[in-house]
Amino acid sequence: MVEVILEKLTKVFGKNTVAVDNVNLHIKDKEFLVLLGPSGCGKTTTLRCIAGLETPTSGSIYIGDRLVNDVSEKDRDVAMVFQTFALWPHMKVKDNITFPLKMHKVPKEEIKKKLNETAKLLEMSHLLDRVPGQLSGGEAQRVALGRAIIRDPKVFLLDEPLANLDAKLRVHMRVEIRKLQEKLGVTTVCVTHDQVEAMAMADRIAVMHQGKIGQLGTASDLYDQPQDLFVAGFIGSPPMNFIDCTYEEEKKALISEAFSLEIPKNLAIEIKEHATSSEVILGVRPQDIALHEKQTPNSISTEVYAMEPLGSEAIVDLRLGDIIIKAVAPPTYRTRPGDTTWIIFNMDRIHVLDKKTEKAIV
Amino acid sequence: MNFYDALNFLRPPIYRAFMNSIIVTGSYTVLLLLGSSLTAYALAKYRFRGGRLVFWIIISTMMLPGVITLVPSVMLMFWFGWLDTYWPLIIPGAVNAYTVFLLRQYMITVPDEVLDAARLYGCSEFGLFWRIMLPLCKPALAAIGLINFVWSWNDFLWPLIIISDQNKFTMQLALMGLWDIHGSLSQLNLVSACTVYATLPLIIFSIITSKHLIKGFTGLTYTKR
Repeated sequence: MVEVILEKLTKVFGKNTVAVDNVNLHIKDKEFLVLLGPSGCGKTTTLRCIAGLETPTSGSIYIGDRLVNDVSEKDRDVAMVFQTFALWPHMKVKDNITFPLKMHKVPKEEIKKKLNETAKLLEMSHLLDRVPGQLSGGEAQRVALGRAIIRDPKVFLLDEPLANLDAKLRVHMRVEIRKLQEKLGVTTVCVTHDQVEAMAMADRIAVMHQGKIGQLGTASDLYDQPQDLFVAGFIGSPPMNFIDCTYEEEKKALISEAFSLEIPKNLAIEIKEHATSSEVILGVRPQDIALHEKQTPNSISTEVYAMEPLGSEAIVDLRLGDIIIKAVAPPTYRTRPGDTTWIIFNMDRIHVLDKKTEKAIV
Repeated sequence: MNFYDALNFLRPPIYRAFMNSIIVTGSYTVLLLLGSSLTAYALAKYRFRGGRLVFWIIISTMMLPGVITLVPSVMLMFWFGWLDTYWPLIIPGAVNAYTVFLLRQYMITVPDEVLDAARLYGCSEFGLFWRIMLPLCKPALAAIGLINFVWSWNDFLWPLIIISDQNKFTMQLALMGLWDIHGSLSQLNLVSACTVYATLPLIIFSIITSKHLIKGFTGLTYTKR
C-alpha cells in the first residue's frame, strides 16, 4: 500500500511568491492522479515537493506511512520523468537506464537482468548502445521511462511527460503510459496543462489554480459538475460559454441582454436557495447548444460570426448580444458569417454560477 | 641529425627542459581546470548567501594588469619559501577568474533538470559534479585547457623571475641559450630544431583536443543532443 498524502502543503518562493497554497491531497494506492492547471499554477512545484527536489515552506508529505519532509530525495524511493526527459547526453542509453541501480550499488548481474527486463518491457532493446543524441523524441521518452521504472519505485512522478512530443506521438504515448502504469501498479502523480491528456490518462484529476486545488474528481465529475468558474472554463474543448444573466424570481427566468430563458422549477429553487444575489453566470458547453436554421419555440436568435470546419465537427462562433459564444455543429453543417441562426440550450446540461463567489449553484 | 645535435645544444639539455615544462604546464592545466570548474560549478548551480558577491569579486580581479601584481607575487612566493621551485608556476594559477567566468557561463546553460534527475536517482553532490557536470563540459574544458596550456607553455617572464637553478629551467628559459655570447643566433640549424621541439607539444595537444575544440570555441553553450 503506497499512498501519497499532502497535508496543508505550502511552498513560498522568496518573500511572498506563493507557489503552492495549503494543498491537501490524498493519492490512493495504485492510483493515477493528474495535477492539471495552467502555467504557473503550482502543479510542478507540488510534484517537486513530493520528489524532494523542493523543500516545503510548511505542511507535511507522507509516502506510504512515512513522513518524508526531512528525507532526502534519493531515499524517498520515488522516480520522476522530467519534461525535457533529462537524459545524460554523454552516457549511452544503457548507462542512463542503469544509473539508479549503480548509484545504489546493486550487483552487476542483477543490473544486467533488470536492464534486459526493462528494455523488453519498453521495447527498446535495440537502443541500448546508442547515445541520447541518436534517439527520436518517442525513443528518448521511453528511455526516461525505463530509467524511472528500473528500480521499482514506490511512487512514479511524471512532469509534463508528453509536452516535448509531436501531436501524433502524444496520443500514442498517453495510452502507453497508462498501460505501463496499470501493468506496474505504481501510485502515479502526473502533471500536465493539457486537459485532454489529463482526462485520457487519469483515475482522478486535481485541477490547480493559483497554488490551490480547485476541484478533485474523475474526468466526468469535472466535466459534468464543475464546482467553480475556473474549472468550468478550463475543462472542455472548446471551453464553456459564459453569459452574464440576472435571475428574475417572478418569471423564473434568466435574463440577459439577448434573451430571456425560462428555467425548470428545480433549477429555480436551487438558485433561490444558494445564490448570494440575483447576478448569476449561465454556463453552456458548446456541445450543448443545438443550431436551427428556422425559429422554433424557445429558440434564441443569433448571428453567425465565424465558422471553423474541423473535419470531425464544426465550431460555429455566434454573436449573442455583445458577446461571442461557440457552438459545436455536425461536420456537414453549413453556414456563412452574417447568417441568422437559432439556438436552443440543452436545459438538462446548463450550469449556473454565482457571479460574486464564482462558485457553481447548479 | 640537427634534431639529435639539438638535444644537447642547450643548458639544461633540451629533453630536460622539455620534461620540466611538461611537469609545470601539465600540472598547471589540470589543476586550473579542476579548481576553476569546481568554483564555476558552485557559482552556477548553487544558491548561497553572497554568491553573486563572490562571483563579482572573482571577476573584478581581471581588472588588475598582471604587471602590477608581479612584485607582490614575488614577495609572497619569497615568504612561502617557494622561490626557485615549481610551486609558484603551478599553484597561483589553480583558479583563474577568466576561466571561472567562461565555465560558469557554460554550466548555467546546462538545465537543472539534468542534475535533478541524477540527484533523485541517488547521486551524491560531488558525484553530480564528477559524473554529470564535468563530462558535459568537455568542449568548454578542452577549449579553455588548450588556451591555458599554450599560455603556460609560452610563459617566460614569471619563470624567469622565480627559477634560478639552470636544471629547473622550463623550455622557454632554456631557449635563452640559443643566443651565443655575442648576442646573435649563429647556428640557425640548431636554433630551428630547438624551436620545433618547443612547439611540438602545442601541436600535439591541439590535435588531441580538436574534437571538442571547434564546439568549445564556436559557442560555449551546452547542447542537449
